[in-house]
Order: sequence, then structure tokens, then C-alpha cells
Amino acid sequence: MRNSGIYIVALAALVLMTAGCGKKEQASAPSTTGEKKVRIVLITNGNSPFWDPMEVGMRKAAEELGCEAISRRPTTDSPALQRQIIEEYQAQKVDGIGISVIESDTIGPVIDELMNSGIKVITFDSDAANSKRIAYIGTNNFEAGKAAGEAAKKLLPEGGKVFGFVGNQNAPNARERIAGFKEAIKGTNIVLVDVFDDNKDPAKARANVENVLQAHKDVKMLLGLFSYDGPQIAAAVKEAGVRDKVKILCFDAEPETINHLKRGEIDATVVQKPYEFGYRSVQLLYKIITLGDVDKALKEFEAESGYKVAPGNVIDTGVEIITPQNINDYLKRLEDLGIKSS
Amino acid sequence: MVQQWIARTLRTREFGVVVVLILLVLFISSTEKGEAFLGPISLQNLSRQIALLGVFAIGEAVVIIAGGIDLSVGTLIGFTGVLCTYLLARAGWSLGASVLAVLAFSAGVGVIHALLINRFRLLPFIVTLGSLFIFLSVGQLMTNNVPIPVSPQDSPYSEAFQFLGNGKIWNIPVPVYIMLGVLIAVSVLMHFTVVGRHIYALGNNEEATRLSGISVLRTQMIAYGLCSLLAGLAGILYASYQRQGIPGSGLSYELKAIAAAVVSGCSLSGGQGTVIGAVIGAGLLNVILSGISFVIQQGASNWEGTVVGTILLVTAVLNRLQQQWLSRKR
Repeated sequence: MRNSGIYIVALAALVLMTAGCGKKEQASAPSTTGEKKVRIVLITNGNSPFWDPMEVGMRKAAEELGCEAISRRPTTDSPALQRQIIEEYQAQKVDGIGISVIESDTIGPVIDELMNSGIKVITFDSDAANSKRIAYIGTNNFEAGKAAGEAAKKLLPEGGKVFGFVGNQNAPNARERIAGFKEAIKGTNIVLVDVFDDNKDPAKARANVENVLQAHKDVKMLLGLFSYDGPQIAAAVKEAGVRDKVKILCFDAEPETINHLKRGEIDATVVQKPYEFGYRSVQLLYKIITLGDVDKALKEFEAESGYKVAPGNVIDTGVEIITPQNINDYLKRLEDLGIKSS
Repeated sequence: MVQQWIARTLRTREFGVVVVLILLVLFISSTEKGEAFLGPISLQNLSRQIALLGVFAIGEAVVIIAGGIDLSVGTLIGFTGVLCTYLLARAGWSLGASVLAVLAFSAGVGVIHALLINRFRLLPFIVTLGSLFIFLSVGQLMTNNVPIPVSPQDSPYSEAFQFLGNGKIWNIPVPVYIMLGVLIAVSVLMHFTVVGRHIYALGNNEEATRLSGISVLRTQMIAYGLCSLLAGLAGILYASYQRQGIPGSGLSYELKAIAAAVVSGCSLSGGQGTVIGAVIGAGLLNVILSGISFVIQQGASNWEGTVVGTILLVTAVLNRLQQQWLSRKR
């Protein structure tokens, strides 16, 4: 019984807290709607430098449109954590949310709840097609994989063995990239022998590459499918001293990837357009919120952005292939947008 | 009598944490965007997060009070989530059978931990570290690292299953009721039964406990069994909350549970603390984590660790000062 006091105090606190749950929506004070700025939140699927240019684009659009836009990067790729974060902004009653979905089975129903509560939701980078989200802005990963396959054909005209490295090959974006790559190399002598998982641990990725280099002396190309895989491949190849025998093809442009490209230590990278994810997500959400009419918003968006809105309201921002030859032009263009090197 | 009761309450370590908790809530709700923090949606979300963490933090607290530690609860949560969704969606079991099987399996895991610790004189740290890795991997093996969803076409019990983690009764999330039930049951066990007294005794002095004729093995089996059982229960709730079993999920949740238990008075050397303290600790952690979204407008996630760590340290220091001050007064 010596601690009964604290039990009663704590239980009372809990009861008080949960009693608040009983109150209906009217609890929120009526706001001065006339003056209120539109509030938009973009929630990423993790905390990688990949998202830096996305935030630059987001801020640029917010500045141009005169709305408030913030980003939130979950510290891990846990669907439970992403759901928790989304629900925090639901509680703040923001006007629009853009989400790079970690797991559509977890987040899809949450999106439906947001839409039902009047918050406008689009997805970017990673979709939840099973949900009521209004639109998706991002890379078509199958097409990106195909672009990688085309680049591989140029780098390996004679063909040869290719090994892939990825966070989780069953993740939807990885599956699509691999399928696109295989589609492009059909009928050539290029073979994608195997793909190794690293569970998003760069050190594990590095070890995977080292193992492949040891076990397969006839490997002709290493393919890094997630953003951090490229630098790990380049480092392992350099260490093993086999750069002259192995081509390196990867995805995205992390700062280290760019450094390797400048030194010719990576042959090509397939870059997505994260700046566009941020800029276009804010632009589209703002139109949906202020016009109050999705069809009209999408039509105006199509006209202003130059992107096509495909069936299912999917907007593909496309990819580019960056090589040591065109890296400087690419960086110059980024700098003009206000993005340092990433 | 009333004065004595108040004095005793003020003296507990948990009281200091409750004060920090109240101050934090007041601070968060006074910020610009903070008015929604005490709104109904926010309170529902917050209470659900506290309940999800509280369920297994209670188990961790029991093991810590018994003088041990269980590092495997995080990945056991991930694995039992996979196991439960596997039984439901792949093996076609009913919800009741799946839940019972998962709970029985989890309790068995704890009993095995206790046997290894007791019979081979192994450190709890090593035994449960081993299972941490095993559960992480077995879940991935079982599923080829692909999550198992539980939609209506996968299982006729889909809706009932989803209700466990997502449903509400009288506007209060279901996990809150489950956590309160667990809290009351385990508190009674710890404070009003012989078993509870043995667990405290074991944590205070294992040798003396043995010499006084108490079965150390049996007591350890109950403590570790309860801890794993509650991790299994949390695994079911998290799988429902995520609407699928995800191999590899739950990683590092054990650290949250240990933090929740220790911040409000469980001593890592055993014998001290309460299970309600673990729930209060879970409350503190989640108030901080949710509050960050309201207070910090840009780059909130990067601040999480700094804020959580600082508040944990400050709370620990305040706790110690309070105890010193009280012992001097006596």
C-alpha cells in the first residue's frame, strides 16, 4: 500500500486526460478565417539528404504563393512512426498534407480519415493508390528502371554480369525499378544475376558489395538502386582496386555520389527530381485548397506545370541520366534553383 | 492521516515525473500552434501512443524490478505482429485462436529466457540480446521481408483485428482500456500478492532471496514470462495499428520501454520502482514526442533525440535531488 497515493494521482490525471477525448470537435476555437494563411505539411519517408532539394522547392513554392509550408522527416522508416506524425498534424488541422508513403496498407486508411475530416491529401515520391488521396506526384519507378537499363546498355555494349544492391528488393519502388531494368536489358547479353538487401544500412550495403567483388571475379557492373548504395559501391570498388573492370550505375544524387561522378568514379546515375516533388506538391495542394474544386485545380496545374496528369491522377516528374560528362551542367542548373550540391 | 498520505505521495519518485509532465503539457499548449494539443483528436492520438508503449513498458518494469533486463521486447513485438497476422491471414485461424497462440508463445519465450539465465548462470543482457537478433531474423525468414496485410479478403476477422489497435469505445481508443486492464492486474500482482513481494525481494538481493527458501527460478519465470507476454500483446496491438505484420519492426522499442521504466523510479540494480511509474514514463516520452510537432515548426524530427535526452536527464537529476532533500529532512 505504500504507493497508493501516486496511483490515485496518476489515475486521476489519466481520467482527466481521456475525459477530454469525449468532447467533440467544437473544442477548437473559431479562427479568423479571412486572415488565415493556408498551411501545408509535407511528410517524407525518412531523413536522407535526398529530401534537401525537396524542401528548397517547397519553400520556393510557398514563398511564391504566400502560404505556409513545412516539412517533416521521420527519423526512421517505421510506418507506425509515420502514422503517429501524420496524426499530429491532423490534430493541428492543417489545410493540406503531402505524404511520401512508407507502407500503403498502414497509411492508406489514415489518408482516408484525413480526407473525411476535410484535410486535402496528395502523395509524392511513394504512392498509396489504394487510398482516397487526390493525386500522386513522383517518379514512375518502372520508367526510371528502364532508363537505368538503357544506360547499362551504353556502358556494357558487350553485355556481362550485373549485381544489384538495394534496401529491400520487395519494397514497391525497388520492385518496379528492377522490373524496368530487366525490361530494358531484354534481348541483350546483360544479365542481372542477383540483388542484395541491406535494410537501408549503408554499412551493410558496403559489405554486400565487398562480398560480391570477392565471390564473382567476372562481374561487369554494380547497380545501386537506393540513394545511399551508389557511394558505398564506389568506395568498395576503389578499395578493391577493380575500377578498370567494373562499371558503376546508381540512382539519385547524394552529395557523395556527385563527388564520385566528378572524379569519374561512378559511370552514371539516374536522378529523380526531388525539387519538383516539393515545388509541385505545394503548388497542387494550394490550388486544391483555394479553388475547392479538384478537377479545376488539376486542369490549371497541368497548364501551368507542363506535366501530364495521367489516369488515377498520377503525375510523373521524370528522370535524367547524369554522367561525369554532364555533371557540371547539372550542378549549375541546381545552383540556379538555390540547391547546393545534392 | 490525510497529511501523512499527502506527504508520502510527495516523497515518491513518480511524483516528480508527474510534475515535469504537467509543466510540459502546460508549456506545449501555451505555444502558438499548441491550442490543438489538448484538443480531442490530439488527446485520442496521444493516449493511444501512451497505451501502446505503456503495455510493454509495464512488462519491462517488472523485469527491471526483479533485477534483470529484457532487450528482446522490441523485436519480439515485431515478430509477434508477424506471427499474429500470419495466423490470421495465411493460416486462416480465428482472431481468438491467433491471439491466444501469440500470447502463449510469448509467455513461453519469457520462460525460456528465465531458464537460460537461471540454469546456465547467463547474464540477462546476453540472453535477451541473443533473442533480439533471432526475432528480427525469424520474422524476415517467415515473410521474405514482405509485410503481411490483414484486409477483409485475407481474413474474415480482419475488422475485429483492426478494431484492437484502431477502434474507439466512447471516444477513447481501445488500447487505452487494454493498457489500464494490464496496469491494474500487474499492480495488484506486484503489491498485493506473495509473487510480487518475491519479485521485489529478488531484485533487492538474489542471494538472500535464495537463502530464505524462495524459488528464484519460479520468480524469474514469472517476471520474464510476464514481460514477454506483454510484448506479445503489444505486438498484436502494433500490428493492428499498422494494419499489417511488418518483419523488422519494433527495433529499438526496448530502449523506449527501459527509458519509460527508469525515468520514474525503477532502478537498474533492481528492487525499486513501480509499474505505474513505467506508464507515467511512457506518458512523458510521448508527450515530448507529440509536443515537438506543435512547438518546433521546421526540422522537428531532428530535434527529437536532443529534447527527449535532455528531459530524461533533467528528470533524473530532479529525482535525485528530491530524494537527497527528503533523506536530509528525515
